[in-house]
Amino acid sequence: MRKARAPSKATRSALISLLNASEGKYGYEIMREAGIGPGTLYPMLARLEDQEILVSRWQEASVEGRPPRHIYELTKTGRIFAQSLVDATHLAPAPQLKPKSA
Amino acid sequence: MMRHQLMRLIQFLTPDHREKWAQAMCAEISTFSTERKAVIFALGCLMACFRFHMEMEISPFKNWSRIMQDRFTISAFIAGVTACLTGLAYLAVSGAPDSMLVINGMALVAGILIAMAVMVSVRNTNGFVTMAAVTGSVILLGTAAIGHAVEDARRWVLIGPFFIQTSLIFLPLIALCFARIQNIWTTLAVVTAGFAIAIQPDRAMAAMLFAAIAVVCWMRPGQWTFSAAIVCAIGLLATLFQPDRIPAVPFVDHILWTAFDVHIMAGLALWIGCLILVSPVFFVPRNERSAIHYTFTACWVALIAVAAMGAYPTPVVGYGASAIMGYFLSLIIVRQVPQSDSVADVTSPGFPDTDKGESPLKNSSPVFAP
Repeated sequence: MRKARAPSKATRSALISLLNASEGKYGYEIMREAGIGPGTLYPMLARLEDQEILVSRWQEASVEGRPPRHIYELTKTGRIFAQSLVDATHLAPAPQLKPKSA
Repeated sequence: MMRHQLMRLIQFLTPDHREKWAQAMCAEISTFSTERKAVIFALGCLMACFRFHMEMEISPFKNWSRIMQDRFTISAFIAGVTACLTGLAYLAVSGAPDSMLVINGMALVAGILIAMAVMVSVRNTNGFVTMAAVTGSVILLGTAAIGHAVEDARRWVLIGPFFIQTSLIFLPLIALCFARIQNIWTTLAVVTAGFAIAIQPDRAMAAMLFAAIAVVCWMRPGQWTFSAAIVCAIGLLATLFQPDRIPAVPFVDHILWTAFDVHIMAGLALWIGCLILVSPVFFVPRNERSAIHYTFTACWVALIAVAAMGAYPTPVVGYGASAIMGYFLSLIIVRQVPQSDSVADVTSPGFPDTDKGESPLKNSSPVFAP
């Protein structure tokens, strides 16, 4: 794993959002909870996956006719990292910086 | 629906090494119940595509040796800007009208911006290179057929108050496309361009095309390159047998010699500017030089040589927006192509892919919600 820079506010929010999800979250869910846009979210998720902080997988849609969705969850390393962020900043889990309506 | 158009655009714009993320974004877009929300989300995803490209430019995966391999494009860019600025200085000290300086300056900015926009947004796939060559050749043929004529020479397209010499923009591009890919389409593009230049007629550009294609033929001998070289030689001969009555234009033609009348430093500056223009190949180690590097050099050496010999435009350092734009647009084809892009539109990743799971959308079109 490459040495990571200090995570940005958006990254911290996304990681803390994922920390509470035992079965992972969809991109849109993370986006809403972290209060970031898709333009920031996907490059950030890709980078976190490169750093082996999270993993992604495809999940079949529950509604028939809809395509599978990408679901994201933290790796073991990612959980430790995200927990360390919570401990360090004393942030409440899953803060909503800029809540957006669905 | 608009969301589907945007999804296609996202898949097109996302670089190959992040293809999985394009599919993830599209899958997410397709789940929205309302078109408005889907479109807003998709527009945000377009920003992600741009960021993926930026990431590719500064990625730590792009190691030092790869950056050094791009040194030709970088040095050609610097050389073009330097030569253009030299030309602007010459125009200023030699008393050229202000409009000439403004037009050259605008061409420099426009050429750089267009080239950068294309480089960022379009992948240099075989399909793109072939399409660029064919499109360029059709434009040249169109110019030869219905372009603006001066003294029986039909080389220009009139766009507003500007006379654009299309061959100076598209011929280097076509030659470089051919240097990159030799197939029936690029060969046809070269043949069409050679024919168009022969009927325009334009000796300087015919010489340039022949020099460039001869270099490709020398370095990559084969049926396509040999055929193209023969046609270009015939095209050059055809232009030599036709009269060329266009008089020399001040600040455009013959300036490599007349600049010395202004001041010896002005003359020297123009020659140095021309040498800088063709110098990028020397910044690439000999064992890393390719047909593209030599073809690029041959294009501009040939143009400078004919400009020194006759009443033909002096590229980049003289007055003329077309050559400046042509120089920078040709860098689109010159740039280093990632391995994944050099194979025709395939999905082999050029970067390590950390996704261990196979995407169900990889080989099939996503099924979108109604």
